[in-house]
Amino acid sequence: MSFIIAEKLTTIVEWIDERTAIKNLLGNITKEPISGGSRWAYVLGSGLLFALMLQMFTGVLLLLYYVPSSDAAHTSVAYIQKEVLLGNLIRGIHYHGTNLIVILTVLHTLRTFFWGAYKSKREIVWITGILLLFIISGFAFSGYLLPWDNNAYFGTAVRLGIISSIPIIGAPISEIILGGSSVSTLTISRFFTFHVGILPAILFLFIALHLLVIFRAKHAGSYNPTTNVEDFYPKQFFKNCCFALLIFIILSSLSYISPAHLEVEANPSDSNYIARPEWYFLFIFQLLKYFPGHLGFIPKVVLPGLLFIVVFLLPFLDKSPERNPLKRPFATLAISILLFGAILIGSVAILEDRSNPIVKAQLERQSNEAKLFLKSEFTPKNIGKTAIPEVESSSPPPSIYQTKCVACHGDKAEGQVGPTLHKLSQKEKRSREDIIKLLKDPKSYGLNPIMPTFNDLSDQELQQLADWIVSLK
Amino acid sequence: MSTTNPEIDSANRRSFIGLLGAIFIGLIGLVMGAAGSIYAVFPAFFSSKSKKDGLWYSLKSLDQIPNGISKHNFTINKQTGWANSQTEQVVWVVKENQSLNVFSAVCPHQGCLVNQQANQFVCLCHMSKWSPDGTKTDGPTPRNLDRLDHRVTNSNLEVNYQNFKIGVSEKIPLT
Repeated sequence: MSFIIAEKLTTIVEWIDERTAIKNLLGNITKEPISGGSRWAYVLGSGLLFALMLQMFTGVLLLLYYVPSSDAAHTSVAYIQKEVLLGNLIRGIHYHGTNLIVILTVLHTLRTFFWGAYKSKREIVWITGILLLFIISGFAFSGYLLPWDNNAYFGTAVRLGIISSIPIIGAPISEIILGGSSVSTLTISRFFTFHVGILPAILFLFIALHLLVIFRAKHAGSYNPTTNVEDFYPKQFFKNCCFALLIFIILSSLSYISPAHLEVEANPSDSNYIARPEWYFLFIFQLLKYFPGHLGFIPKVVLPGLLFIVVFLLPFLDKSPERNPLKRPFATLAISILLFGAILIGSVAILEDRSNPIVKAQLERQSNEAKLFLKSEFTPKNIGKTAIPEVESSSPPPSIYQTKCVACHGDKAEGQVGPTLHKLSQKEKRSREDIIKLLKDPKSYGLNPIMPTFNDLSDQELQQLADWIVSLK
Repeated sequence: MSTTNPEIDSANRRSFIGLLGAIFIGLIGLVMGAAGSIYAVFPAFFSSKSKKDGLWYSLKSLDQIPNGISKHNFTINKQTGWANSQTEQVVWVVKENQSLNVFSAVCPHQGCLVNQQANQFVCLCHMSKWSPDGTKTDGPTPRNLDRLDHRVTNSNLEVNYQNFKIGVSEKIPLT
């Protein structure tokens, strides 16, 4: 019986192969020769491809709920994160995936560099790789704005500010990118189109090109001359699969251990907000501090431009066939110094932020605020022809509310920076007595440092406040 | 029977780690596929937040409703996904002397909206017709117009708005 099935299967496979030559293709991939044998060092490229595929998959799923408009973007992202079943996993993988892709891209590029794998007819492999690096930065740049929280808004505003300050061409370029003179709902649409429409198409094209030229040039393999050659399948295949599994486990656990970041909705008037770039751009951020205004174009344009030209033309600048990193000390040393320099300068940026008490306190406040926002209950956005009347309380708030609480909790206690106070007393540990205790000592309720301490209020004032909060339905 | 041939051993080992690699990838595919599916069907099956139909809405003061057939709009609030949305809905009210009926404007045939033509209801999509008491008189409609429960509170006419399964001869409320 099983013999008959096997025979049928063979017939089907043959039928497909006759029309597609699939066996030949698979044979070419599995028999891809790896000179010097399989190595864990070679898993980075395939790991990157896997991470990009995960990004594509989770990205398409995010589109099911995401709305690209300044009205709804933030609410729809909060909905994915807080309400949709497994939404925290899907967004978590997409969010942490970005960081992982940056790390893998850098490691993959460094590995290729140190192994001298851009040499001997692999120039186009290198160049397509560097272009892919730029495409990936484009994804990071455009995806950053989409959640429309303070971080996204101010981060993008600063980046565009950097572009617009480039002499002559800066301002028009920045206006084209923004779709106007400032970050607006049009900017979201533009970044969204770029992120999900244009860039993926270019990415596919360049990945295909990158792989095609790799198959043509063959895997570079060991940098030492060797006659030992091993097929890609099964050993290298197995190592690549293990690495993919590791990436998957790391990303999915991270989305629970450290949920994807989301701050309160972008508030362009929040002058206290301090924008800080992602860790991988900290070195440029720090360099900007060292150059006075009129020389700002040096770290913004000249240095990255020079670096780009050198990196892009590397296979043509360095034509010696020697691949062993120890036998080309200048190249190895130069890249190592650049890398350590970037890490060092980036670390200085972090240290400076930590040593300035005002900056440190504000950054901590922002980070706590984001954590609090993620924990708070999801509030849907009102849409449609007529607005829902605001929830009215049974009585007007006590005067002390107007002076002490209104700034964070809003005139109708509907919640702004702080959470809504409506239905608060229905929650656990928020009885009338708890509210009084909480006002005097928010720390013991886990709310410090965002919620200030109000132990200067009289007992009567505290009771009035608690009574009123309990009355909010 | 144990194999002692080193070549076969090595071939077995090769196919074993190849298979193990493929299993890893298959596992990831399975987990991601399942997670993605649950995430995608969430609003249909798992969301408890969307309010169900069958809530009471106030239409108009009873003495403002004319005799005969009249159309009335009202707004329903519903949380759908990330939004609290207000959507206009429409019902037909037929008032004759002491009797009053409220009908859903949704055609039971294919879900178009029913219109009034002289003293009867007509669905212009497929030309189904009903008399003012909702009884079907012509066309492909499988049933009479769907009557909605109504009540009068403080002389206001209120309607229990809900949707029914279309295309079947019984009136089955959708939950």
